[in-house]
Amino acid sequence: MESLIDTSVLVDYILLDSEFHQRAETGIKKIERGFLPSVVVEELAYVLDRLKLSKEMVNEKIEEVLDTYGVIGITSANLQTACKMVMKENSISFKRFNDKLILAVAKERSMQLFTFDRDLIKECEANGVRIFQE
Amino acid sequence: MVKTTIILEDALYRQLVDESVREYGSTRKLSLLINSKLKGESKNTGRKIHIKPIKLGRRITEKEIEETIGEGWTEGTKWRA
Repeated sequence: MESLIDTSVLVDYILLDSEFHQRAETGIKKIERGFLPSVVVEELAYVLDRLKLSKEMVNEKIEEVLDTYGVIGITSANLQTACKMVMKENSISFKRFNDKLILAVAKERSMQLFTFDRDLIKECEANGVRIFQE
Repeated sequence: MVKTTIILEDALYRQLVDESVREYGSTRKLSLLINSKLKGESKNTGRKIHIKPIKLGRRITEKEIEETIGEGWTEGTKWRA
């Protein structure tokens, strides 16, 4: 089955000294067909930069990620679905809008989502998106 | 399969030709490339993992990773403050 991979999993896989590196590695090796919503690549660049990796290293990791996985661009339909999700849940802001975009892509393409993010896992359950079990 | 003629914008055509030459070595696979693009397919599906893990030099928790991802949004919306 096709799987979407979330930012948290990629960061865990890239960093050997992360708490869930082993879990990320186990899961990533099991994925048959993996894809990334474009927003995940943006978040990954931001996180690696914030962790003070050099510009060259961030670039290298992004290149390696792009050599490994296909990227799915966010469409107007995804944006509209994500907006509806935010409005439906009565949240006070669009703070977790990126999560909604990832969910919207997963829903549209009937893909399971590989994430360690506890909030995102809850949102998957609420929105009928299957979670990848490593 | 159906054989048809389509009219492409010059820039898109050049982009397809470049990609076809890069991926397949010639322009003879343009149809394959267009079909693949329309289906949203990518040859990179994670079957071969090119990502080489690195050491950060300190232990990092899942909570810290999640918080840092969340900060991206805060940074991006500072204009609201």
